Amino acid sequence: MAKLKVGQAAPTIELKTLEGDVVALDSLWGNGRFDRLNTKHSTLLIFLRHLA
Amino acid sequence: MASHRQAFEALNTNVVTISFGIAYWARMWLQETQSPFPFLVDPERNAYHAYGLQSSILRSWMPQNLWFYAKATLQGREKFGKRGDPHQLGGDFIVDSQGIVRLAHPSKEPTDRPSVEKLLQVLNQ
Repeated sequence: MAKLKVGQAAPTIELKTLEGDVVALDSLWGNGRFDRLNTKHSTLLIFLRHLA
Repeated sequence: MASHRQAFEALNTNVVTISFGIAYWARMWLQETQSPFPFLVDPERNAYHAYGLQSSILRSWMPQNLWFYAKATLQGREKFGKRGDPHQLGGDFIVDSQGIVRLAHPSKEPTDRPSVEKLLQVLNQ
């Protein structure tokens, strides 16, 4: 399994919410879009281990 | 993490939690933790694999983890095998608005996580 490194493009995968809505990961980091204040968003993805 | 929510918001950061667990245990986890962050499910572990997150029996049962699990079991918090693959490791990644990885921290063992201070440091760069 290849390690993801800093500086690489983050993979975009389609996941779902618990309500069943499909969310593509790249929609979270805005595809390069800026918000109205022209500040950039970052996204912190926390992958859980098992749900203990 | 939830206690630092304002710090992440101040840095214009979305925090998203991803799990491979089934919906039942995911809802129970959310109820138990009261996590305020958006929650996505990845039952096929496509995102886990794409982000290089491994499942490791050896690394999941290292001595420090056995101690952690023992304490959690005594506290009634640990449910081995009932909440999903106990060997699947997690990780933390920061992605900027261009879709570029700014922090990649796949967990080496179950308790291996970057500190909040480290996360905020990267976000402040």
